[in-house]
Amino acid sequence: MELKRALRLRALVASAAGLAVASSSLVAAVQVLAAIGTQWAWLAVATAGMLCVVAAWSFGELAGAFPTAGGVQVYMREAFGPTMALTVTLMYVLLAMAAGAAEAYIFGSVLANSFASVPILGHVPVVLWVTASLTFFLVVNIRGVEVAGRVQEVLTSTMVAAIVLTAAGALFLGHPVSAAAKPFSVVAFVRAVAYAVYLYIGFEWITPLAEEVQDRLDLPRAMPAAVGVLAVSYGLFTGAMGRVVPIASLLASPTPYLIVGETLAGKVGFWLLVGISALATFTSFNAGMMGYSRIVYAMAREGSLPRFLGKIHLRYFTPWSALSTMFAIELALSVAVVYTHAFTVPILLAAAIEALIYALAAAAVLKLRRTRPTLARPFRAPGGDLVIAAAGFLFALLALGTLWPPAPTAVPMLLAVGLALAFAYARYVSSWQQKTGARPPS
Amino acid sequence: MAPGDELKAALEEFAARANENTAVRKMLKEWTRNIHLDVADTGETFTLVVENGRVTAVLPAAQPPKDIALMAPADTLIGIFRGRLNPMAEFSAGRLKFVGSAKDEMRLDAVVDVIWK
Repeated sequence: MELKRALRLRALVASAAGLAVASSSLVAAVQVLAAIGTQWAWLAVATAGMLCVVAAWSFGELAGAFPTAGGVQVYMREAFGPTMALTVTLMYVLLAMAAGAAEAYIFGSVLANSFASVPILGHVPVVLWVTASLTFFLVVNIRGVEVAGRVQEVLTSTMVAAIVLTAAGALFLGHPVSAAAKPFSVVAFVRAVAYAVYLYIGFEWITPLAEEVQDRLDLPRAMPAAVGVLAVSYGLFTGAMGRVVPIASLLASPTPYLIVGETLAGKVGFWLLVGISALATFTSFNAGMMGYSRIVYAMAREGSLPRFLGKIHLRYFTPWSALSTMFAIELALSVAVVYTHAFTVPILLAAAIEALIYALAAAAVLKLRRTRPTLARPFRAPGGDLVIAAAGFLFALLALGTLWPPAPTAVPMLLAVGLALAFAYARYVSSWQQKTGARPPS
Repeated sequence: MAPGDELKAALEEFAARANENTAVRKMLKEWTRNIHLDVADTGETFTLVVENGRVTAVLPAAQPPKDIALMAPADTLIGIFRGRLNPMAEFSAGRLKFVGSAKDEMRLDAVVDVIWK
């Protein structure tokens, strides 16, 4: 007599990869190209992928030891206490809003570009497309529309196949542009790997599903598998973009992949990439907005965030207050991006936060191995402490790499302000909860 | 009182409050579910039978179908159904496990909130 909610390996891989494939990832790939050049871009994507496999092992070990829907918040609380857990969760919410703002701006630009030659619609400014996209996702989420597991598998497979097909077309059929090969430099390579971390953001968001998996080892297997799929498809696509379109042209556009599609196959290629972009935005944005609004809701209900964020829509049973607040903040950020054209700022900010969180996950694994050696661990990250420690150190280094010039100065400033506010707020809430007698975690 | 008896009493009190509360009945309109409560430390299972928005039975056994499952130690379940513990805090801390749809999770949390706020 069991609930029919047991998730299989294939569904988990599709969810993890589907969360990471986003329109803004295709734009982040251009930043990788710009940092290191076409010749070495694939290596930067692969290196970030290898590091993310080790991060996936860390999350796999933690999810096996603490198979709860609380996910990263529980891992951080168990390893470092409530203040750090709340700080990291708040940083995750900031990451979601930064990535959401970038995604909304890029998808709004895709729509503006797509309808440019249509009467009336061709005159609609990007800011209105951005507002319309965000409003669409707000309504979809408030109504509680979820992509079923089977549909997610089909959508992810379609997106990955289309990305690989486009990349193969560019590599084998596209006319290569003549460009002088960029000389290899270690600093540029580190920066390119740091930017490439953005391509994998979201693979670990399946850890809250740990209670629902069919086999306890499926989660630690699914995340590295998803990272592998992403590494191959993004690696090919990044190299292919740089092969057929000059990097300067790609950098100048908020929708560089549409240029690639059009260069390769005219209008057919253009619309194919519009389709990929729409699917990528729908799956990642919808799941991201839904997941993060529930985290904000749960934090409000347990007293870590203001109570008004814990209100539920009494018809659709969705956290409308958390959703509306996140919508308002993302809209404000997106509008700021529209008017400043600084769409790399939220992308780099999200990459920096994610690299820091991966470093902290590695530190949590190492600390728990020392402090709770007898804890049941159905999966243990291979390679011993050294591999986890090295990956954690490298992620910390990559976080710095995203902040260093030529990254816009707004990125380190926003990260510093976000971290300081999150930590100060977490300390205040933790001490308040201790004073009011909140039950300590087990 | 044994933990199982105390939990049953807490569930019956909760059921009575839910059935009396017009806001809860409106929220649960046409909602029919068997909610299983698996007590982690005693191995017992209780079932809250909800039919068209009314709790019609509190059974000290597993009554199929298993639409929703809540798993926690007895003191946690008693604390939640008596309004002493915050279900979302217990859930986030990993002391309470929920298996069921996200909408049902939200609905149950909203019911507990309305009854005990």
